[in-house]
Amino acid sequence: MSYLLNPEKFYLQQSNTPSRQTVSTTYIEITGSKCQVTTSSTVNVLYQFEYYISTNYTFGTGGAYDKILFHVKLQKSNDNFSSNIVDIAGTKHNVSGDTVENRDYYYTVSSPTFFTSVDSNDYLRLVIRAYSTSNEGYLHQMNQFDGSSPNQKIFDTSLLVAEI
Amino acid sequence: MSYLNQQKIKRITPVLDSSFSSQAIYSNLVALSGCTVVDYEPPSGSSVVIYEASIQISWHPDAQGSYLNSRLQTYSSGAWSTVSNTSLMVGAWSGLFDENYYTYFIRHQIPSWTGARSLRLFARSYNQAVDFTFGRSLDADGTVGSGARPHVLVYAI
Repeated sequence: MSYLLNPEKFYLQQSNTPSRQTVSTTYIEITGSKCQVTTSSTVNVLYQFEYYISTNYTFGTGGAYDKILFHVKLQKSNDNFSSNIVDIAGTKHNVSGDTVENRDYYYTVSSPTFFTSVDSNDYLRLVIRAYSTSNEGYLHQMNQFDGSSPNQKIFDTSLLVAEI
Repeated sequence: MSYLNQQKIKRITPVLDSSFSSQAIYSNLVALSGCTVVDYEPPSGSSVVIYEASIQISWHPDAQGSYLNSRLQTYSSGAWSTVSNTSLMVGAWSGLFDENYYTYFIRHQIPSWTGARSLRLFARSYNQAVDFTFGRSLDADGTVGSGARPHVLVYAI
């Protein structure tokens, strides 16, 4: 696979030490996923975002042993998502572990990649929600590491956008 | 993944090593195979170094779960050190036996530096109940394959 990139339109962004986000049954913007594509015309872009997903390790309102089932989609806006919010067709997808077993402690990195068209100065972002309160989870933070719990670690997000 | 842009993306360095064999990972820290190690000197004027790895882990030997605990390390001044916010625990554990294979794409962004340094992934399992095998593959005839080696790419911007 090759991308012939415009060297002036390559964008890389990192969210340093993002706070933990709780994914519940309302769509939220994933920290670090938003950017503005500053062009003078309609262009095609590659959008790739890397972020961390954790099971609900506090066993909170969703109950013990939440089993992750997330809905994720890419949106664009011409007013920084103030009133103009457009779901980009064909970008809806899911992230889940095993939702059938009575417990599933699931941790992963997700790296969705899209090719889409944007207009001059459009914003892009990823939004996410859980299927139900029994499928909630967290982003950016893990609670276990190297045999210790709690041993909280943060995983920085990484956003790459390129005009193609 | 490859990005063909020599003007903005600089010094693209893939790790090319066909000698890989799978590696059982237990709860003691080890370097993840020679295929994740790369010596890299960012070009002058770079601000960020990107380390990308596509990896596979398999359930073997613990069918109930696999938890990879990895981190990116750099070698300079005679010692390896862990880059902040690159710790990563991935995998799953369930109440029943699952013989799962997982593939992950990992991208770490770190500030650039002057001179050459080595980079590597350093890892262990979370504990003995969730050991796994790094790069273990299974062939279509049901035999253990030659291994799914990590594919690592480093570049600077």
